[in-house]
Amino acid sequence: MSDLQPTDFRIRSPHYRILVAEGAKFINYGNTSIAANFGKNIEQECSILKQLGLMDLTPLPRTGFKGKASIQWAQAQGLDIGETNNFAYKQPNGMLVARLADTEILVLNNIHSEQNQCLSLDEKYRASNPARCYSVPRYDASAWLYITGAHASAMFAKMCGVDLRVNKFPNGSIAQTSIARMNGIIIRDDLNDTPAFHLVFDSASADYMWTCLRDSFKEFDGACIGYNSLG
Amino acid sequence: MQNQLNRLRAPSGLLVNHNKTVEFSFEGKIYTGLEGDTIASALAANNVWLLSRSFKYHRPRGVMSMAGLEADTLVQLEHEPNVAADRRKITSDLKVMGQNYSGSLENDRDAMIGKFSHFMPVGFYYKAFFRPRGIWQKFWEPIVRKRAGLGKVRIDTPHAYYDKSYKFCDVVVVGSGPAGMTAALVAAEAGAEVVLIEQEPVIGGCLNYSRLTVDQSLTQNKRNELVHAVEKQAGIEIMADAVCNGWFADNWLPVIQGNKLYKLRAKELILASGKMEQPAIFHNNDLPGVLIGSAVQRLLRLYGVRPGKRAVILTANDEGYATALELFEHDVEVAAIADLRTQPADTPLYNAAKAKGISIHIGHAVYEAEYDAGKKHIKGVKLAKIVNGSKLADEKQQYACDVLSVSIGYTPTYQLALQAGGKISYDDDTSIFSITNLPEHFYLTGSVNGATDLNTILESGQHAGYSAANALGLAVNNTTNKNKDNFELTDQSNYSWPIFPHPKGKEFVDLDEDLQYADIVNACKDGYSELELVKRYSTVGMGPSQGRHSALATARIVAHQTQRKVAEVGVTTARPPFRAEKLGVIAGRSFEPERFTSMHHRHLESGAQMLTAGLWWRPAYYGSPENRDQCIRNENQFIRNNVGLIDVSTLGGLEIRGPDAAEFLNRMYTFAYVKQKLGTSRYVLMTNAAGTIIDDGVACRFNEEHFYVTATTGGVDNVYRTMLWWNTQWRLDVDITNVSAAYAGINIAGPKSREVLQKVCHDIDLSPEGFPYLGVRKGTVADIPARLLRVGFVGELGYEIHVPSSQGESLWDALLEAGKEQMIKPVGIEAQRLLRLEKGHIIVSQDTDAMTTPQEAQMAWAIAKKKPFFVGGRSLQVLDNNPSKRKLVGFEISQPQKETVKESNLILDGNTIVGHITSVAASPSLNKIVGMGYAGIHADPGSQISIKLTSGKIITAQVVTMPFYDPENKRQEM
Repeated sequence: MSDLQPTDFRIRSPHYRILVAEGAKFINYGNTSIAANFGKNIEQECSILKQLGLMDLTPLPRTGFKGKASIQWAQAQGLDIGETNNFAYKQPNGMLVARLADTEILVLNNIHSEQNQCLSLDEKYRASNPARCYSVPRYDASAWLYITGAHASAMFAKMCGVDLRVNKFPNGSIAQTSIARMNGIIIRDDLNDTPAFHLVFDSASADYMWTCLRDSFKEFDGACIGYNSLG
Repeated sequence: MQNQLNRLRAPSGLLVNHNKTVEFSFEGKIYTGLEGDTIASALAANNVWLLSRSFKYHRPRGVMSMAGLEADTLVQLEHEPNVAADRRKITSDLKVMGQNYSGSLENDRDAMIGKFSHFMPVGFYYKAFFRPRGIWQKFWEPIVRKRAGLGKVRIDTPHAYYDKSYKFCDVVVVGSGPAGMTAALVAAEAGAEVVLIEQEPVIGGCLNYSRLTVDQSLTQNKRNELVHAVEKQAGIEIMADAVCNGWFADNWLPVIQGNKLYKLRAKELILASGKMEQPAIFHNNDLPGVLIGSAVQRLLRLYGVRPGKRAVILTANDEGYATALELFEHDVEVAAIADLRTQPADTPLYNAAKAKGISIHIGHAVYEAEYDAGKKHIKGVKLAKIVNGSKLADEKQQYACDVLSVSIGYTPTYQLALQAGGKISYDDDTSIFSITNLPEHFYLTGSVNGATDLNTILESGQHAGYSAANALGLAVNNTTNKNKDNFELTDQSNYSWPIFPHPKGKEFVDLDEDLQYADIVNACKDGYSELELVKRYSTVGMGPSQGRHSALATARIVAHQTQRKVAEVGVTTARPPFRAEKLGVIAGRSFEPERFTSMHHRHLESGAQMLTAGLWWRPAYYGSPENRDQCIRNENQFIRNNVGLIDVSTLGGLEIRGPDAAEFLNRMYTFAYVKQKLGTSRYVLMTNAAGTIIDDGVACRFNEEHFYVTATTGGVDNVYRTMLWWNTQWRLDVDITNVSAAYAGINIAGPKSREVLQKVCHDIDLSPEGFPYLGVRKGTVADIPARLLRVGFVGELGYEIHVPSSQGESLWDALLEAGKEQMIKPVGIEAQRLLRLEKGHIIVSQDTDAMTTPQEAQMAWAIAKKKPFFVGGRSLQVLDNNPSKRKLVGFEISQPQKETVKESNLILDGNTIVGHITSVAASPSLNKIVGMGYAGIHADPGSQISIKLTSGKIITAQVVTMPFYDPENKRQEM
């Protein structure tokens, strides 16, 4: 493992110091760095992933669009977006399009891909400047964490009033709600058979949210896991 | 070390592990208990019954219910007062002390107070403490404060970890007795997700300890059958050692389990909380050794503890006879049974007890309990025949005993039902309670619903389970009687008047507050006939046990005294919490959100002292607190003379986009924006509908349909919300996006700022002509995409650089690196506040208040009077006809002051307060004190105002025209 550091890049996760303090080892992802592991071997972190894991996906691309014509425009770009609000639609290329309202979507890169799938969407937007469709700077406005494992729902119950039990909150469901008194978006996006949830929230509160999550994790022996544990 | 003299052999005691002993101390002595023992059961095993002293008379007290229902079991732990000894498990090295005594628990010097009880009649608090005038503060209050409370709080107690969690289920069943378990099984079998809440460590409820049948094995078998079925039923989650402490709308239930509070939301609630056995009222009914029957059975069956060697039983139902059989089978001699009834029911339990040859006194009551030589425990009782109601015959039968078991009736555990809006009724003829008027999705089952024998209780549980499942729309095969049980019938009736006054008093109605029979009678005689008033006057029911053992007796006495029925008197209001709950549990893990800018850690690394602004942390100044003022002055001078960096990331950022963007801003702000040129910024001032200033900032126009608007750190959320609210009505074709967190902002300011910026910004013409004051540009700084705003908040040449927040730290580093040659320094918020004051710029909410209009702030220049509408415009027109009596003025004080002039010091006109100072500081640039404040409307430049300092001293200040610094604005426009 190289001694690559987040400060080697201009673009940094807002809470990279916490990741360093947690023992993260970083690898290059696009034009920034991502926590690859937290000092454990891949089998150990994969095991944690199935029980209760906390992964920082903030370095991964994401974007958003809002406005009365935003969904129509996104569909015209080839995105498959259904009619149901508060539901996330998985694209053939692995991108996840979260329909937040009739007038807003959040687009998350395929977490397994190192290709910036959102970039082309943003470029198309800038090139066409569509009417009544406005970009949302999700990459910088929002931090992105991935909470995985059998205990994830119970862990969230310590921070959030929405019933996220897996039999009540199907895969793809979205909760736009308060988590530890901060606004956030929770999207269920399972990893094969392992329940998993994206948590997208105010980037300025990344240190705070990470600390709250780690505290909630203790009850379930949850731990940090790196990007490599996605396999 | 003491032996466990009263401990029964294994396997007695469902909750204790005979193979594992635990040592703990009580009052400094080491005792041995068993794993699973409570403090009280372990002490009882060691024949220690005295746990505490009573609140007022310091009488000896011990366990009565073994169910945590009374205050007498409250003890002191090292770091926790008022712990229920009959609930808290012993642990190794636990140090327990009694409470509320002077000297020692055994020999409490304050026990003599009881001898003066005649001088402390009911309501004496209200009669004694206020005359002569002033005696309360000088005499009584110190005494009362010294004696107030029970246990002691230690301020050095370490913080414990308390937790909270939400929880959800289809059906919650509160209480895991026979009815609760049956209901849970029925609902779960129908497909419901069930949570079963039990306050004891194991489920089973009364089946775990109560005999109920002559052949105890029948009860035991039923218990085992139900417990096994519940434990293997996948749809039931058992929460043992948990208390449902209240009911709130729509079945929102606080459930406390250890140090964790669950906020449980249930679609259906089945209350199977059972009933609470009640004490009888007779002389010395409070002494250790007087137990209610269920407590005796709990000690025997749950903890394997013999409650004494020789017992007398006072009863009025089959519970007393069941207790007698239990004692008999555990080798406790039953000396006598006094049955209050004139004719006991001919039931198997009665007959079985009778067959044991126990002496049964029909129609008899306890005249008094006698205490032993040390006055710590009973040594015997005197029985007497009931002549009429509460009147007893003169002839007494004395029995030596060390335990008196009392089983005279019950109240339903009605608290949650009543909190939900239920109405409780009492039939004075049968002494039976009923609860009606429950809300939807709330069901009663078992003995709380009036079921008395086990057959009815089990049927009741089935019915409740079906009802809940039905309400959930689950397919239910309703065969209520499919598993009909056939237990023997028992008499579980209430005795209507188990109250026997004594010539010497001390027949306690409320043990928490040491209220005797006469106290309640006298409260009525003092004119208080309503129960709620009697409660407040006498304090009955206001102690830790909240009337669980006193409410019914009080209602009966009040009814008797006022010649009414108990049904007419009613009960006092039941409010949450059901049991005392710790403040730590309520607080739980406290979530205190905070926001960091991209450069937050750089500030810390630079030695910044941080302050909060809303949720944000901002650097106040860089340096040590003892050098605070000097640091701020130095930072002020970096900007004035050189160049500095200020983190302005916390400023709000709003994207206003769409064809109607300019029109939207025209309506939201006081100025005009339709004709604002591209590539420029313009000041924005927001007023609310009343015309009060609520925010300000700048609007940067990047194209015809795109404005980037800044807002104050603390105000942006409200501004965003307000914008959405208004446009919901206006329906303008505009999008409003709050991008505050998306951008980091750095203000590079000072005469050398351009020089530094030029090193890292190559795609923007930074010359005064190419990028003039109030211009805005897009480009790159240190290869980072950026929005640049030429602003003048601090009154020097300066640029606000807004970049994606993920690159804010990189920009900060790059600018510090680029400015090394110019000796660039980071500058904190305190210096910025001073700089802007020198420049005469207001800070909304510091220099404005909830009433400040633009006219008062002398900002009428920011109002575009020709446009047809803006929020607050109409109000300001009205206010123009009613001029304010105050205005915000600038002032200066040239003479040095010994006393610091402070913000909020009053501004006077003669003796009249006309306003206060909003901002003031000693200006390093101007070498004098400058400030702003509200003064009278005639305080024009050149006039003087009077300022009342904190000490009361009044000084004079000169009103001047603002800005104080660089009035020609040459420096910011260079």
